[in-house]
Amino acid sequence: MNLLLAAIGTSVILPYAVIQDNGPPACSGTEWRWQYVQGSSIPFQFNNTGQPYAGARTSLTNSLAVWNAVAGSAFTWSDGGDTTLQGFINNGINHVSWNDPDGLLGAGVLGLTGSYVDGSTFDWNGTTWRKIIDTDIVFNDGITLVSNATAGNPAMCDPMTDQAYSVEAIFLHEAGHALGLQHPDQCDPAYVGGYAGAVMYSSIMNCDGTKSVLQADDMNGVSYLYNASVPSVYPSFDADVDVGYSPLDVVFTDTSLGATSWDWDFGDGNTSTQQNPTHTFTGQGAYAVALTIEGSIPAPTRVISVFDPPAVDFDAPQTTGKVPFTISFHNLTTGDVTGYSWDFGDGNSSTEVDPNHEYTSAGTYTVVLTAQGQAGPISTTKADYITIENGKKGNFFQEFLSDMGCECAVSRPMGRAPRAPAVLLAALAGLFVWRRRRKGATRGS
Amino acid sequence: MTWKASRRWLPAAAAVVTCAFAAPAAATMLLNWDVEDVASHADVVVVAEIDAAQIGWDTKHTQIRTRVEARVTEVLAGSVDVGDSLSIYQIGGSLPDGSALRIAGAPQFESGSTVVMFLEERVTGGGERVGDDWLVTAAYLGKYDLFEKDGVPWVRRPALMSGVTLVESHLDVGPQQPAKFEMSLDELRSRVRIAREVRP
Repeated sequence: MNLLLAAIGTSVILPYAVIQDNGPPACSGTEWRWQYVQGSSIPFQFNNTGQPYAGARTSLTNSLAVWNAVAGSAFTWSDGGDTTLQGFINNGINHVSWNDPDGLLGAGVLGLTGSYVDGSTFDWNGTTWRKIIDTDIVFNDGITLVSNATAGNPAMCDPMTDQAYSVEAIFLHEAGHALGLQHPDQCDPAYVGGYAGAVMYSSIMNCDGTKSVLQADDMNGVSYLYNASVPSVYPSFDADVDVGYSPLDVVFTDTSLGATSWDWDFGDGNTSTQQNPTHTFTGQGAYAVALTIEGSIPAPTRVISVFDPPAVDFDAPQTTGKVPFTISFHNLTTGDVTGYSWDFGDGNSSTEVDPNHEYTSAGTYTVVLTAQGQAGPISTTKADYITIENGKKGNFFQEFLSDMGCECAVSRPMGRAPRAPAVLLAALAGLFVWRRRRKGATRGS
Repeated sequence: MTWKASRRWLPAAAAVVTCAFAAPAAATMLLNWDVEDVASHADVVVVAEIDAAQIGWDTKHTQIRTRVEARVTEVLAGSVDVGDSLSIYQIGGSLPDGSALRIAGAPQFESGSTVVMFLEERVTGGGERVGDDWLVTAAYLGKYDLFEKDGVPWVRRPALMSGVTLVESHLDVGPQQPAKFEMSLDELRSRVRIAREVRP
């Protein structure tokens, strides 16, 4: 109880992965259990201490921002209007709708948490479970929610109920469910209304300055789990990166509770006893990193995914020429790549595998090829790779006319190839000159 | 989302239309309203027979929703007529493949049953009316099952549903007394009528 009350008031990080690990201990039969694929420890944090009332939405948004900083736990956010969710529900997006945008909650409903489960089951601890893949939290637009519900402030009260509801408290409650926390009656009916020391509650301030009850059901809430689960010593850590190319340097930061020694297992056969070690993973693989501290219960591992980087390379059969000049680039990249991006150095780009590119201005150009690999983009740069010079290309008709002794020229804009009409005109002119000369030669002979 | 626009809705099981939501990890916070509170917030109060339901994804495939069709047999309050077919819409439901969106406290319907429903027009958070859809006011607190007791019709609703947190309200409508979960239909009619007369 004290821990969560502290969380509301004083900004505490809770290692709720403990809850995930233990599950509801008194449950039997088929139950539902929250699971995320990633994350050994996700901060659940409210920064309310001393925060002036600046709008409940801002407060909640800030809370979500903290939450969303951790992989695997992201909540999307819609502040009224339509819910523009991206993708399908089974992408694991947890969505918070502030303003009941689709009109799904009737009067009297403050908010709800819906849990999505997929159709499959899995076994754990001798029990068949189903996996919650997503949760949606919806607040009712008809309810006056305020930040840090303050007593005796009519402006913050719901005219329908003469009460104000703390958005942080309600969100804490609903998000707790999103994490898999349950009311005791959902786990063991014997606890309904009879369990003291609760921590999961809804805060209701009456406009006469009194504080309304903590609901028994809420009060019983997570205490059952927290009291049983949150220890004074618990391993927890962050990593500065979860996915990357080999060799991958990962900085691990200890965030444990009560740790005095650290035993790291990086999942690749290497270990460390430093508090905040940096480890280099070599070779492709998914490495389950575990931190053990003395006296603690087991903690979930954190998976570091390492991929062999693609070998990004290219060449071109000819890298010099005179304007205009077209270069045919050959992509020599090997490895697992899903796409390419070329930067030709002249302001132009391409996403083709083997692009042809015409340089129309003289200069020296640096070419960059970027490949999209499994762990992100990776590039190869060839500096000053292409050199284009000013100058005219050889022109058959110009030379032909010159050979004929004609001093006229086929004019065309610098840097542009002769067009068909110009070529035809030059041919006719050359033929005309040639025939006149031939006639003249005939007469003179 | 409109019902007609959706092509993803699936027919519910023919015999039993169930919206079984009382599963752990889902949670709903409701104001602890009694009959008078619910009646004062509802647009209509009807006795109706449940015809059928459909459960499916919304058009964005982001949320499972349920639509229940009901035929009005008696109007206790509001502007609908006997014989009208009402379309009740709610979030959540279970699909045949086992996937489900669990919502605690959602009213449950069985096809062929007769129920009393407190309904309100479905309006988005932006204030727009959505088709001819109706919502059940106050979730499971706004739906009573009809049954016969000593030869007269009675109604009842669950006292508490798993996963529901009932938040005390200071609404000054109706008598301040513990909620009754079971009463005769005549008593319900009377309480609804009185509540509507004093409706703010």
